[in-house]
Amino acid sequence: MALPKNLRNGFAPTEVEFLAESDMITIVPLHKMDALQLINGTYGPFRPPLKQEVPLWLAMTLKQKHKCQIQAPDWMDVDFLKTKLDEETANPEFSPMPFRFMEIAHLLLGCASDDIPQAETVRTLLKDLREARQSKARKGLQGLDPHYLQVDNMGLMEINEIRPFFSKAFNELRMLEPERTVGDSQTTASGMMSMS
Amino acid sequence: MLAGSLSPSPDDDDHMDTGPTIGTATDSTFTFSLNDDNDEDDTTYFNDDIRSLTQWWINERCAPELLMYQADLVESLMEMMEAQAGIIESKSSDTPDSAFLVVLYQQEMERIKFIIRSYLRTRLAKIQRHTLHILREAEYRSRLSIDEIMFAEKYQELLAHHFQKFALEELPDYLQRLDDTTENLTMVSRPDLEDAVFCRIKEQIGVFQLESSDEAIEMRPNNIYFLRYNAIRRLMEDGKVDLV
Repeated sequence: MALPKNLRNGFAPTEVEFLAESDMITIVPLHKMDALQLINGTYGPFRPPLKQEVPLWLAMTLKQKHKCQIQAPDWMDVDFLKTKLDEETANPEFSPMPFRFMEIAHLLLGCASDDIPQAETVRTLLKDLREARQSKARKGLQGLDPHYLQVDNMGLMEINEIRPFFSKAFNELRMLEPERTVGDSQTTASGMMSMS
Repeated sequence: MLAGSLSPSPDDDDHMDTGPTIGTATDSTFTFSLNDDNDEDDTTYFNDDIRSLTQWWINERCAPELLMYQADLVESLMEMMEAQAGIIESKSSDTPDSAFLVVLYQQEMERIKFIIRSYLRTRLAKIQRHTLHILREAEYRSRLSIDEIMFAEKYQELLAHHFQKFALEELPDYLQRLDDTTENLTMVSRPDLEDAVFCRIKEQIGVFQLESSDEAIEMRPNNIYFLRYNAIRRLMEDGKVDLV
């Protein structure tokens, strides 16, 4: 078929990472290089040691060729992540993290761990954070009703992980609900809206 | 299955056809200068088409129904890639440095091609699933590109012919239809617009009344909701929420 079955209910983890590779990141070039006129825009010129903002995929390729150092994002910091972890375990809500933090962390720890201060500790803290958040997501399932669920501050990777199970559960609950409006769901417009 | 011959095979990924005509949809002017050694060169520009198409790809992947074909975006990106490919070709790659630059340019193009391919395939999968419904409803028909309409019609024709030949012609006339309906059952498969989706709010929306319950929710930027597609369908079309 045109789209493989495993891609029909959400994204593959590699696709989620692909999306994160378009996010911007700061690099310190190690070699002089002219500006790149990409379709997406102009990046550079690269003049060490002047910092540059580039898409993550570009940073990763440059890093692989030892042409740059990647500056770890502010949140990939031991102290910051420790505070986050405390916050995460103390509060019932998800604490705010960048939307693509898991993917970016995974990519950076994979290709540029030497540029991240205390990379191993960062890795462990992120893992703890992830587990704390995963258990919250599981608890969140109890709050599921066939109308809506607010999941603020969840990251894309986290959303994608719970998607198959949550949609199935949501749709089952929806079937169990007594019919509310009779009408053709194909043509009904969206819910009424009032501006506040 | 019969469909196999129509769907794009995974191997001819490099061959893309987005339409019979190459329009001039893009409004962004772009000048490329790979050979430029001048630092002060002022050709800095930024193009948002890739980001826009990426979001439409995500929307298409998450939405249960077929969305409007983003002809302008696809065409403008195809054009820019063609121009970029021409420039890369004219560019010598005899020194390691310039060869590396070419790799970077190609890498970006591969990323764009991936998005366009996956976008078109997602749409083809939906067309194959709800062919008859999409062809019959004017609203859905208008969301297809010319190539997609041709594909859908041909696909439906093959399917109907196949069913006819293999089984239906042996049955009594009144059992031969492919679009029979009884009171609340139809043979024409339709997308379930009440399907659950995740969405992220982009701009202030305010109090939003859910159709399916008496509850109203206040939608603020960056809120993420898990709800019925139908509820936020119009908001998504207006670009006020993104599916995620």
